[in-house]
Amino acid sequence: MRSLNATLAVSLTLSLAVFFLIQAVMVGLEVRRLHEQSLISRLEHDMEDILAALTVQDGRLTLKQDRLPAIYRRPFSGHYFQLLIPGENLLRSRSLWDERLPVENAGLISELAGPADQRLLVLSRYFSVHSRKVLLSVAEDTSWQQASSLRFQQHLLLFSLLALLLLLAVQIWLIRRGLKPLTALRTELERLERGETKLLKLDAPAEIAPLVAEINRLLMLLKQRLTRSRHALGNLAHALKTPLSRILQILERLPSGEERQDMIGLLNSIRHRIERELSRARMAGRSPVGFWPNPNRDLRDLAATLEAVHRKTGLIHLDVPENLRISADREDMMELIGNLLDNACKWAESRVRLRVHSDGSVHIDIEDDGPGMSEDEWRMALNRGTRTDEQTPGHGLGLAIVRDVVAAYQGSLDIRRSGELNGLHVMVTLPGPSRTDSTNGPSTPIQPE
Amino acid sequence: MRLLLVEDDDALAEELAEQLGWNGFAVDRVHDGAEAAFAGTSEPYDIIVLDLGLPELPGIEVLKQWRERGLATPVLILTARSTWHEKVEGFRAGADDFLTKPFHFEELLVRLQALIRRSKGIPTSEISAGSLTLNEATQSVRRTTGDHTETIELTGMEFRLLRYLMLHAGHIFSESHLLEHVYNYDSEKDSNVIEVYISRLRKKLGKSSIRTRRGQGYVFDPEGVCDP
Repeated sequence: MRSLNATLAVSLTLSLAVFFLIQAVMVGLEVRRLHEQSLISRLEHDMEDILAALTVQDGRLTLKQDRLPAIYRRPFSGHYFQLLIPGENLLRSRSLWDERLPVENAGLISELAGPADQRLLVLSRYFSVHSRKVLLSVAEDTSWQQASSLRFQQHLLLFSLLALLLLLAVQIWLIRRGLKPLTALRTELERLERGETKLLKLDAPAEIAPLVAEINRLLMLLKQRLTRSRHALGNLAHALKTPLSRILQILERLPSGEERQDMIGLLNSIRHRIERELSRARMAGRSPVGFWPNPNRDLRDLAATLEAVHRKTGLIHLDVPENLRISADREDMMELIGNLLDNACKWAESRVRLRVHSDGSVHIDIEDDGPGMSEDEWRMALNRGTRTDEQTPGHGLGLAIVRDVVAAYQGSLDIRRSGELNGLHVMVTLPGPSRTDSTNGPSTPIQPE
Repeated sequence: MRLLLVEDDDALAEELAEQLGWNGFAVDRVHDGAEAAFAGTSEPYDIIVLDLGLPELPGIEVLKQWRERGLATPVLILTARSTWHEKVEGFRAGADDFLTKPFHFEELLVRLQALIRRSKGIPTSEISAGSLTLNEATQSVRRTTGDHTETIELTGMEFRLLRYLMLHAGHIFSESHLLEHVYNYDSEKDSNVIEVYISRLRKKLGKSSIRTRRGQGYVFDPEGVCDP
């Protein structure tokens, strides 16, 4: 998943790095250019001094060495000049010794290999001196300047790098701080998923306050809708089934015959259909408002209810942690477990065991000691419940509801022989809210029809 | 057996009351929750059939009120709402059994009879006392003496009376008490009627089967049953 935090940090790092790099390069180049310019202007000054030191002696141009700056007289001092006089000799500074600057034309040569491994900047110009056209080249060793400008650039880069790191640290801290309300929102959403809170309780800044308010509004709406629709479905069930009861009473008073049987059969299939559809409509499925606060208490009461219905006391043994909390709709879970237990109670001899535990996913294990159904028969019953032409009232309907609930929670259902009780062992696994995408449990997941 | 039927659908209530009457129940009908809350504790019912979707006061609330006031009468909930959490809620409120609409009348009858036996502490599926065994389906009684078994047919009122007495063998009941438990609220009651039926039962089961305690009432004595 894309992280806002990481995206901001990466883009900021990249832009800052590019900025500092460009700045370092630009500053370096500019410093070099400035260096070169000041060098050139100094060389131009030196040219004037040199030209002033030229005199004519015996019809030939000569240099008055003592008029020249001392630096041109020390051998390989790094400051050189030479005068190329066409048709006459080559005049050069003493510092050049026997070397000669390989210059033929006027212009600027920035890097010329000079004597004693020096790197020279050479400025050459034509002058007319005493009606002669001479080419004067003045050179200066720039290697120390280059070294110093390199050092400057290095310092600059180092400084930029430090500034970059400092800025990044500050920026990342600012991003973290800025995104803190989002982190808090995320924590609060996780609490909501675990059912620890019913609404988001968050002191959100103006930017995300509307989001929090909207989520809370939707949660309330969802809850109200569910309550209202369940209430309406209850009323509908009442309104539909009371007349059905009456029809059944009337039919049962009629003399028995094929027609009566047919009508009772039809009535049962209508009843089956109504039950199934109502149970589907009532189902909340996985939703953020789904929460079962006290499974232990409800399951104890459910077991007592079932024992009363089946008239077998001490039949059901519960293994449900006292502090278990399940983030699924209470009514859905009661339907699921109630129907599975009901079925187990039908077949059990003297013992049914219910185990519910949660490790993020919810695991429900129901075992009985009945010889009743084989695994295949159970599977068939589970699938048969999905048909609506079921003739035996009630039978198969419960298992169809089980199937619907498991499918709505993207869970899986598996059946095997119970190792301990010798009857049937039904295992239901419902993935936790944060893992809704992983439908592949250890067994075949049940897909909604 | 006095039975209170709380059902808001008139037609269904009438139908059920009629069939229950044929099966030896003295049925009173009420149609809303408030009425039911009052009736349940004001008349000595032996069993109550309660619908949950009631006007005025929801069935669950009615049941809670009864139990709060210490009413121990067994209550069977008859409802269109069939989810497990609703059933659990019903049992929490103090219901003894649950039947979902639509239902077969036979199923209701079997459950009511079982509930009555259970409330009287009878573990078997039939009501018996001494040599007598009551057949609730045929409204007759079987007397077994040694290898000899004889079936004695009973009229509706004889059956009602004998069932009540057999369920409470050894208890002394006044005429008015017996009257209250075999007739419903609306019937015209004549205390002589009980005397008439007691003497009819004595003719069928032997004189000493039901003894008269002067000034107190009648006692059913299974040991006194003999061939008249």
